[in-house]
Amino acid sequence: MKLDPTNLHRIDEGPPSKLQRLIRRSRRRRPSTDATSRMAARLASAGVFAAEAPTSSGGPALLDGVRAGGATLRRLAFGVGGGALALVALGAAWSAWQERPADRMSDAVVAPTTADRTGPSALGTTAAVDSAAVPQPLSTIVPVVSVDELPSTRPGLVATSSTRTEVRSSSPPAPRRSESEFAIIKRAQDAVLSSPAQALDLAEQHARAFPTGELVQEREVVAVEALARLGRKAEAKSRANALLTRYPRTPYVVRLERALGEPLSPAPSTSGR
Amino acid sequence: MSVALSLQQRSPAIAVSRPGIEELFTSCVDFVWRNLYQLGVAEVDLEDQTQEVFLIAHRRYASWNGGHPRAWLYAIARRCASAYRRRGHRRYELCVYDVPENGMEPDPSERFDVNELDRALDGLEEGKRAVFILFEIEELPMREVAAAVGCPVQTAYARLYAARRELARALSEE
Repeated sequence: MKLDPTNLHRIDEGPPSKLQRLIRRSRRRRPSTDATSRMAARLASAGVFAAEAPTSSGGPALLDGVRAGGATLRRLAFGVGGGALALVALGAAWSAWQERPADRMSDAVVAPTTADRTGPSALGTTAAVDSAAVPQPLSTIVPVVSVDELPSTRPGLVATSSTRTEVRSSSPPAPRRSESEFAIIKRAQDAVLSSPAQALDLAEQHARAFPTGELVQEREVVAVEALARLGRKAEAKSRANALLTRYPRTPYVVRLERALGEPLSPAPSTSGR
Repeated sequence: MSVALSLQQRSPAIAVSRPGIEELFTSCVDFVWRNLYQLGVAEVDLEDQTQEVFLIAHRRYASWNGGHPRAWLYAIARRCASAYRRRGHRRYELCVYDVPENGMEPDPSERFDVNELDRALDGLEEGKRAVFILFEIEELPMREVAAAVGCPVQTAYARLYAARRELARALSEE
């Protein structure tokens, strides 16, 4: 075609020049393997890679060099060294999962309160979480903040008895001392794919350590995704609805709906657009 | 998503011929990353925004005709970057213990070179810059470049030549 002359050379193909050098260097700018792995893992957990599923075996390739296959991506997703970590985490989470009662995690945030108040809430829980950094026997009692004090729960779902509860500690992913809010959520997000039970545990830890934190929405999204992956759809849905009630304009609606596999009722659905 | 699925069921031929989002991600993540950066997304937000581009691509997959995948992704990235810039004033800072590793150039000299090109590119009008980046750096065919920026091929050539001239002048003045 006349408008697309084949004799047009790129600067890269011409004589050496400063601009050519800069262009070549600019091409090397790319996300690190770790960053790519994180993105791949999150997209996979959001169901992005599974839904359209054009397996394209034998179909005409419109995109040269695109068909690298899922194996490459999965290698990326779990990264060099990440695989070993994931296995360890999975093992720890599995053993913990077997140890705890089936309904133990369902009320990670909206746990009904049963015992009398015996100490301070917010500050006390931070100390309690820190103390859990040392491995403790299963029967250790850890104080937990009352649901009434949590900002992310719907009032109607919360039992209105006392303000303090006690649950058994079995936390396999022990929080690091003075771990930041961001770091806990990050670990939880990273664990959703490989070990949803662990992600749920981390979300619970976050709820205890940062009841009024800045990443409450992110925590709840992780919890919903983890519950959904564990097959606890009803809990996932009620928790998602609680989040939506609390934050009607949350940007995570689509993600929640994708995790649940159905539209959420309290707010107008925005999925599919 | 349900819309996407039902459309694919009705037109399996189209679905088969198109790469999936996973394949697009594998082959084009670097492309999207670089272009978001050139479109004004801050380094610390590149990961989030790149992810956002593929999420949107996933949502709009049913309406994509399968042609010019990188041009399609570029159009999404451009809108993402535009929305990102608009809400920039509402952003807040997060304290983190570790600086997020972002994959940019670890070599200082390389970074210096790339920054020099960035500064020169910043002096270009948006249309010329986009054509130059897509053709010279991303090595897209001119036809695809024109599709990505939404102009006739001839216009894209004119922008390319103008961009080359202006860049050569800018770099020689530094």
